[in-house]
Amino acid sequence: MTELINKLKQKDEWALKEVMRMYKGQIFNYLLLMLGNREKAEELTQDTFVRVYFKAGSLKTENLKAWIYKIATNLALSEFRKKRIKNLFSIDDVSEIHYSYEQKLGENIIIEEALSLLPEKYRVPLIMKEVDNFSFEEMSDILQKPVGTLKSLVFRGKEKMRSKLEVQFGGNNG
Amino acid sequence: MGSRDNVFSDYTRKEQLNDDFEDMVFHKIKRKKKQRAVALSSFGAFILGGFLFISITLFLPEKNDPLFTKGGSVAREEVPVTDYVTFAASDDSNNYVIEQVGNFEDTGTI
Repeated sequence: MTELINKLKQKDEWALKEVMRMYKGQIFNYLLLMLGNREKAEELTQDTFVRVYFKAGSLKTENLKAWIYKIATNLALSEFRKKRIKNLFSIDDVSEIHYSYEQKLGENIIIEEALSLLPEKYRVPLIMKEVDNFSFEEMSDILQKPVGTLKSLVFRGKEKMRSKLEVQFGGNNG
Repeated sequence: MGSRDNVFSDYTRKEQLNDDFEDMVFHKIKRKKKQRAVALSSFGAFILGGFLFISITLFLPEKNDPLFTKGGSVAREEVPVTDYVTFAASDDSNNYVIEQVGNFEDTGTI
Protein backbone atom coordinates (compact mmCIF):
# COMPACT_ATOMS: atom_id res chain seq x y z
CA MET A 1 0.00 0.00 0.00
CA THR A 2 2.86 2.36 0.85
CA GLU A 3 4.40 1.79 -2.57
CA LEU A 4 1.06 2.45 -4.23
CA ILE A 5 0.66 5.70 -2.29
CA ASN A 6 4.19 6.78 -3.18
CA LYS A 7 3.54 6.12 -6.85
CA LEU A 8 0.26 7.97 -6.61
CA LYS A 9 2.09 10.94 -5.12
CA GLN A 10 4.36 10.91 -8.16
CA LYS A 11 1.25 11.13 -10.37
CA ASP A 12 1.78 7.65 -11.73
CA GLU A 13 -1.16 6.72 -13.97
CA TRP A 14 -0.79 3.02 -13.26
CA ALA A 15 -1.17 3.79 -9.54
CA LEU A 16 -4.33 5.78 -10.20
CA LYS A 17 -5.76 2.90 -12.26
CA GLU A 18 -5.00 0.52 -9.42
CA VAL A 19 -6.66 2.82 -6.88
CA MET A 20 -9.69 3.16 -9.13
CA ARG A 21 -9.90 -0.61 -9.49
CA MET A 22 -9.88 -0.95 -5.70
CA TYR A 23 -12.29 1.80 -4.74
CA LYS A 24 -14.38 3.04 -7.66
CA GLY A 25 -17.26 0.65 -7.00
CA GLN A 26 -17.44 1.46 -3.29
CA ILE A 27 -17.24 5.19 -3.87
CA PHE A 28 -19.85 5.07 -6.62
CA ASN A 29 -22.32 3.13 -4.48
CA TYR A 30 -21.63 5.40 -1.52
CA LEU A 31 -22.34 8.52 -3.59
CA LEU A 32 -25.32 6.88 -5.25
CA LEU A 33 -26.86 6.17 -1.89
CA MET A 34 -26.15 9.70 -0.69
CA LEU A 35 -27.37 11.50 -3.79
CA GLY A 36 -29.90 9.08 -5.21
CA ASN A 37 -29.02 10.03 -8.74
CA ARG A 38 -26.95 7.71 -10.91
CA GLU A 39 -25.60 10.33 -13.33
CA LYS A 40 -24.61 12.71 -10.55
CA ALA A 41 -23.06 9.88 -8.53
CA GLU A 42 -20.97 8.77 -11.53
CA GLU A 43 -19.90 12.34 -12.25
CA LEU A 44 -18.83 12.88 -8.64
CA THR A 45 -17.03 9.52 -8.59
CA GLN A 46 -15.02 10.68 -11.60
CA ASP A 47 -14.33 14.00 -9.90
CA THR A 48 -13.24 12.16 -6.76
CA PHE A 49 -10.50 10.30 -8.65
CA VAL A 50 -9.48 13.43 -10.54
CA ARG A 51 -8.93 15.06 -7.14
CA VAL A 52 -7.12 11.97 -5.89
CA TYR A 53 -4.71 12.35 -8.81
CA PHE A 54 -4.06 16.07 -8.28
CA LYS A 55 -4.06 16.09 -4.48
CA ALA A 56 -2.11 12.88 -3.85
CA GLY A 57 1.00 14.98 -3.19
CA SER A 58 -0.59 16.34 -0.03
CA LEU A 59 -1.67 12.90 1.25
CA LYS A 60 -0.30 12.47 4.78
CA THR A 61 -2.15 9.39 5.97
CA GLU A 62 -1.68 5.71 5.20
CA ASN A 63 -5.44 5.22 5.25
CA LEU A 64 -6.02 5.72 1.56
CA LYS A 65 -9.61 4.50 1.69
CA ALA A 66 -10.59 7.03 4.37
CA TRP A 67 -8.85 9.80 2.44
CA ILE A 68 -10.71 8.96 -0.78
CA TYR A 69 -14.00 8.80 1.11
CA LYS A 70 -13.22 12.20 2.59
CA ILE A 71 -12.84 13.66 -0.90
CA ALA A 72 -16.05 11.97 -2.07
CA THR A 73 -17.94 13.15 1.02
CA ASN A 74 -16.78 16.73 0.55
CA LEU A 75 -17.89 16.66 -3.07
CA ALA A 76 -21.28 15.28 -2.09
CA LEU A 77 -21.74 17.85 0.68
CA SER A 78 -20.84 20.69 -1.66
CA GLU A 79 -23.35 19.26 -4.12
CA PHE A 80 -25.99 19.38 -1.38
CA ARG A 81 -25.08 22.98 -0.64
CA LYS A 82 -24.95 23.93 -4.30
CA LYS A 83 -28.34 22.50 -5.09
CA ARG A 84 -29.82 23.48 -1.75
CA ILE A 85 -31.83 20.32 -2.01
CA LYS A 86 -31.92 18.01 0.93
CA ASN A 87 -33.55 15.17 -0.92
CA LEU A 88 -32.05 14.61 -4.32
CA PHE A 89 -33.87 11.32 -4.62
CA SER A 90 -36.96 10.92 -6.65
CA ILE A 91 -39.09 7.83 -6.90
CA ASP A 92 -38.23 7.63 -10.62
CA ASP A 93 -34.49 7.61 -9.89
CA VAL A 94 -34.80 4.86 -7.36
CA SER A 95 -37.04 2.77 -9.60
CA GLU A 96 -34.66 3.18 -12.54
CA ILE A 97 -31.65 2.11 -10.53
CA HIS A 98 -33.23 -1.12 -9.40
CA TYR A 99 -35.19 -2.09 -12.43
CA SER A 100 -33.13 -5.20 -13.09
CA TYR A 101 -33.15 -6.62 -9.57
CA GLU A 102 -35.53 -9.41 -8.81
CA GLN A 103 -34.49 -10.41 -5.33
CA LYS A 104 -34.20 -7.88 -2.52
CA LEU A 105 -35.68 -5.27 -4.82
CA GLY A 106 -38.42 -4.22 -2.44
CA GLU A 107 -36.16 -3.95 0.59
CA ASN A 108 -33.50 -1.89 -1.16
CA ILE A 109 -36.00 0.61 -2.50
CA ILE A 110 -37.73 0.89 0.85
CA ILE A 111 -34.42 1.53 2.65
CA GLU A 112 -33.28 4.07 0.04
CA GLU A 113 -36.54 5.93 0.12
CA ALA A 114 -36.52 6.10 3.90
CA LEU A 115 -32.89 7.21 3.78
CA SER A 116 -33.73 9.90 1.25
CA LEU A 117 -36.17 11.40 3.72
CA LEU A 118 -33.45 11.88 6.32
CA PRO A 119 -31.63 15.21 6.58
CA GLU A 120 -28.07 14.95 5.27
CA LYS A 121 -26.57 15.45 8.74
CA TYR A 122 -27.96 12.01 9.67
CA ARG A 123 -27.76 10.43 6.24
CA VAL A 124 -24.03 10.83 5.67
CA PRO A 125 -22.78 9.27 8.95
CA LEU A 126 -25.46 6.60 8.80
CA ILE A 127 -24.39 5.44 5.34
CA MET A 128 -20.72 5.52 6.32
CA LYS A 129 -21.33 3.47 9.44
CA GLU A 130 -24.01 1.04 8.35
CA VAL A 131 -23.28 0.51 4.66
CA ASP A 132 -19.55 1.21 4.30
CA ASN A 133 -18.65 -0.13 7.76
CA PHE A 134 -16.32 2.67 8.84
CA SER A 135 -15.27 2.89 12.46
CA PHE A 136 -16.32 6.00 14.38
CA GLU A 137 -12.66 7.04 14.57
CA GLU A 138 -12.31 6.89 10.79
CA MET A 139 -15.59 8.76 10.39
CA SER A 140 -14.36 11.39 12.80
CA ASP A 141 -11.30 11.90 10.62
CA ILE A 142 -13.32 12.02 7.42
CA LEU A 143 -16.21 14.19 8.60
CA GLN A 144 -14.19 16.32 11.03
CA LYS A 145 -16.65 15.73 13.85
CA PRO A 146 -16.09 14.30 17.34
CA VAL A 147 -16.73 10.58 17.83
CA GLY A 148 -19.45 11.30 20.41
CA THR A 149 -21.33 13.55 18.00
CA LEU A 150 -21.15 10.92 15.28
CA LYS A 151 -22.37 8.17 17.59
CA SER A 152 -25.31 10.35 18.50
CA LEU A 153 -26.04 11.22 14.85
CA VAL A 154 -25.94 7.56 13.82
CA PHE A 155 -28.17 6.52 16.72
CA ARG A 156 -30.68 9.27 16.06
CA GLY A 157 -30.49 8.65 12.32
CA LYS A 158 -31.38 5.00 12.85
CA GLU A 159 -34.28 5.96 15.08
CA LYS A 160 -35.58 8.39 12.48
CA MET A 161 -35.18 5.79 9.75
CA ARG A 162 -37.16 3.26 11.76
CA SER A 163 -39.96 5.68 12.45
CA LYS A 164 -40.05 6.75 8.79
CA LEU A 165 -40.15 3.12 7.68
CA GLU A 166 -43.04 2.46 10.01
CA VAL A 167 -44.94 5.59 8.96
CA GLN A 168 -44.22 5.34 5.23
CA PHE A 169 -44.43 1.64 4.70
CA GLY A 170 -46.70 0.50 7.46
CA GLY A 171 -44.69 -2.23 9.10
CA ASN A 172 -43.09 -3.73 5.98
CA ASN A 173 -39.78 -3.34 7.70
CA GLY A 174 -40.30 -5.72 10.56
CA MET B 1 -36.70 -7.17 5.91
CA GLY B 2 -34.39 -8.07 8.77
CA SER B 3 -34.24 -7.07 12.38
CA ARG B 4 -35.49 -3.68 13.41
CA ASP B 5 -32.21 -3.17 15.26
CA ASN B 6 -30.34 -2.99 12.02
CA VAL B 7 -32.35 -1.40 9.27
CA PHE B 8 -29.53 -1.97 6.80
CA SER B 9 -29.13 -5.70 7.36
CA ASP B 10 -30.91 -6.53 4.11
CA TYR B 11 -29.38 -3.79 2.07
CA THR B 12 -27.52 -5.51 -0.78
CA ARG B 13 -27.36 -3.08 -3.64
CA LYS B 14 -24.14 -2.93 -5.68
CA GLU B 15 -24.39 -0.87 -8.83
CA GLN B 16 -21.77 -1.04 -11.58
CA LEU B 17 -20.11 1.91 -13.26
CA ASN B 18 -20.08 2.35 -17.02
CA ASP B 19 -17.21 0.70 -18.90
CA ASP B 20 -15.71 4.01 -20.00
CA PHE B 21 -15.41 5.27 -16.43
CA GLU B 22 -11.59 5.23 -16.30
CA ASP B 23 -11.31 6.84 -19.74
CA MET B 24 -13.58 9.63 -18.53
CA VAL B 25 -11.40 10.17 -15.46
CA PHE B 26 -8.23 10.42 -17.54
CA HIS B 27 -9.99 12.70 -20.01
CA LYS B 28 -10.95 15.02 -17.13
CA ILE B 29 -7.39 14.92 -15.79
CA LYS B 30 -6.01 15.87 -19.21
CA ARG B 31 -8.51 18.72 -19.54
CA LYS B 32 -7.71 19.99 -16.07
CA LYS B 33 -3.97 19.93 -16.81
CA LYS B 34 -4.61 22.07 -19.90
CA GLN B 35 -6.76 24.49 -17.91
CA ARG B 36 -4.04 24.77 -15.30
CA ALA B 37 -1.40 25.49 -17.96
CA VAL B 38 -3.59 28.21 -19.49
CA ALA B 39 -4.34 29.69 -16.07
CA LEU B 40 -0.63 29.65 -15.19
CA SER B 41 0.29 31.37 -18.48
CA SER B 42 -2.40 34.00 -17.98
CA PHE B 43 -1.25 34.60 -14.45
CA GLY B 44 2.37 34.94 -15.63
CA ALA B 45 1.35 37.38 -18.36
CA PHE B 46 -0.70 39.37 -15.84
CA ILE B 47 2.23 39.57 -13.41
CA LEU B 48 4.63 40.58 -16.21
CA GLY B 49 2.18 43.21 -17.47
CA GLY B 50 1.73 44.58 -13.97
CA PHE B 51 5.47 44.71 -13.45
CA LEU B 52 5.98 46.59 -16.73
CA PHE B 53 3.18 49.03 -15.92
CA ILE B 54 4.62 49.76 -12.48
CA SER B 55 8.12 50.15 -13.95
CA ILE B 56 6.89 52.61 -16.58
CA THR B 57 4.85 54.54 -14.03
CA LEU B 58 7.73 54.83 -11.61
CA PHE B 59 10.68 55.40 -13.89
CA LEU B 60 9.42 57.27 -16.97
CA PRO B 61 10.23 61.03 -16.69
CA GLU B 62 7.29 63.34 -16.22
CA LYS B 63 6.41 65.93 -18.85
CA ASN B 64 7.81 68.85 -16.87
CA ASP B 65 11.00 66.99 -16.11
CA PRO B 66 13.99 68.97 -17.67
CA LEU B 67 15.38 65.75 -19.09
CA PHE B 68 12.15 65.21 -20.91
CA THR B 69 11.69 68.73 -22.23
CA LYS B 70 15.19 68.79 -23.70
CA GLY B 71 14.25 66.04 -26.12
CA GLY B 72 12.68 68.54 -28.49
CA SER B 73 9.49 66.63 -29.07
CA VAL B 74 7.68 68.47 -26.34
CA ALA B 75 6.70 72.15 -26.54
CA ARG B 76 9.47 74.26 -25.04
CA GLU B 77 9.16 77.43 -23.11
CA GLU B 78 10.37 80.35 -25.17
CA VAL B 79 12.87 82.50 -23.37
CA PRO B 80 13.33 86.14 -24.52
CA VAL B 81 16.89 86.60 -25.78
CA THR B 82 17.32 89.77 -23.81
CA ASP B 83 16.96 87.91 -20.58
CA TYR B 84 20.07 86.81 -18.84
CA VAL B 85 19.74 83.04 -18.89
CA THR B 86 22.06 80.72 -17.03
CA PHE B 87 21.82 77.05 -16.56
CA ALA B 88 24.20 75.38 -14.16
CA ALA B 89 24.62 71.86 -12.93
CA SER B 90 27.34 69.87 -11.30
CA ASP B 91 28.31 66.39 -10.29
CA ASP B 92 31.06 65.36 -7.89
CA SER B 93 33.94 66.46 -10.12
CA ASN B 94 32.62 68.85 -12.78
CA ASN B 95 30.57 72.00 -13.03
CA TYR B 96 28.52 72.68 -16.16
CA VAL B 97 27.37 76.16 -16.99
CA ILE B 98 25.50 77.46 -20.01
CA GLU B 99 25.65 81.18 -20.43
CA GLN B 100 24.14 83.45 -23.01
CA VAL B 101 26.83 84.70 -25.36
CA GLY B 102 25.08 86.99 -27.85
CA ASN B 103 22.17 89.27 -28.60
CA PHE B 104 22.90 91.44 -25.64
CA GLU B 105 21.32 94.82 -25.67
CA ASP B 106 23.17 96.77 -23.14
CA THR B 107 20.54 98.69 -21.30
CA GLY B 108 22.57 99.00 -18.17
CA THR B 109 20.34 96.59 -16.37
CA ILE B 110 20.16 92.89 -16.26
